[in-house]
Amino acid sequence: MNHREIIELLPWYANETLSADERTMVESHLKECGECAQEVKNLTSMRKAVVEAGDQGPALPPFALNRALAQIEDYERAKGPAISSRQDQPPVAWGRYWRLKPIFVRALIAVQLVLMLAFGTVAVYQHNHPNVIYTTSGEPVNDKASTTIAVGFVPTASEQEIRQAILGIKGKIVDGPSALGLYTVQVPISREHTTEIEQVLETLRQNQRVIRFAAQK
Amino acid sequence: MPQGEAIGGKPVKNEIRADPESLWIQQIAGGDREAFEKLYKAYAARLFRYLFSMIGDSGTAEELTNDVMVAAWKAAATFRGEAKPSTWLFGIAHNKALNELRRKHPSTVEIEDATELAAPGEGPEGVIQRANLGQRVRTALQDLSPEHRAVVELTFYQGLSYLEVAEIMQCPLSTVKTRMFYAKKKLQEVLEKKGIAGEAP
Repeated sequence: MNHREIIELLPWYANETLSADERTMVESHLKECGECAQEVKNLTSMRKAVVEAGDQGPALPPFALNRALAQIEDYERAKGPAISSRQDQPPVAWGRYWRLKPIFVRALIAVQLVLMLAFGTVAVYQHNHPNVIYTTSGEPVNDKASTTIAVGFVPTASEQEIRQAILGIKGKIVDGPSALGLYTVQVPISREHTTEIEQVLETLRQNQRVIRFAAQK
Repeated sequence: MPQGEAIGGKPVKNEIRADPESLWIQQIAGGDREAFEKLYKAYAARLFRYLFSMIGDSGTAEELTNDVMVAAWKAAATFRGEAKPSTWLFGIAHNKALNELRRKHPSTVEIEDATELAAPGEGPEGVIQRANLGQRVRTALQDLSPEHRAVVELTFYQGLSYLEVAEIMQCPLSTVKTRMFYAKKKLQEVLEKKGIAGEAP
């Protein structure tokens, strides 16, 4: 290695990332070259100044991670449970495919299946009982004057938080939990008032500290 | 540069890595949020520092840091382990920084007069003077072109090898060395003008 090649390597000699062979060559050259020895001093000084300046600069706020996690949730929600394949992945068996999915995607798929089954059951039942649904609490619910919502609660939510969330939408729990941990909440809004129902669902969904899932049944 | 292509005559090895960061990225590809948090905690502060040095604005640097990490979440399945996770993440950050600089008009940074620099002293005054010194060096770095600033930051602050810098900046080794040559010359001039350079290591 000649003088020019050595001098080009000196910044990385100063930051100690050269290979052992390169380092040996540089150190051998430094013993004979005053210009390069001075350059190492300058670079070491420069590196120290840059590191100190960086350390004195602003730091990443501690809550930035929460924002990143929220961005990821938004991204995954936008993708939807049906869009779950990632690029460049070979076709996989159903069991492996299922295990590879994020837990909330698996939960959403399972909830969809349960809701499809529930709607099917209700449709058959309503064939004979068009206006009334009986719940496990035994209390008949007027189908026209109210709407039922499937709600999943965050495991860490307290009883008080759950109560406040339900009272906040003037609802009451009339069934559950299901095998998936979902509760049926009845709200005094007719099924025909879709805008109001959507507002209730949005209120629940925004309460992410307490509600992990909310959908009209 | 396509993965596996030679950088500066040295071929990049196509071998799968077994370090914890690579494992986290594989887990992220499967939707593992805990693995994402681990990767975030390991790299976000360094990425923020790099992006702040490139952009010069902490709010934008924070947004871009999260953009990099979210991009890593989205692209985790495409990470094949040919590059080190740090190189991969800094490569994403570098591109985002350049895009941001292209998008905005480059901000002009006034160089402060070197005669304003007081000698470091003891106590609170010394702390203030050191903070001023740091601010002056940051200002000097902002005076470099983005490409020169990137080489200086990646080498001196992030402590990366020239091979890693070349991979992050997607350029040949000879370009990295040339950029460093001009960057250090320019930075040395600015620091000397400010009375910072020449200090014993």
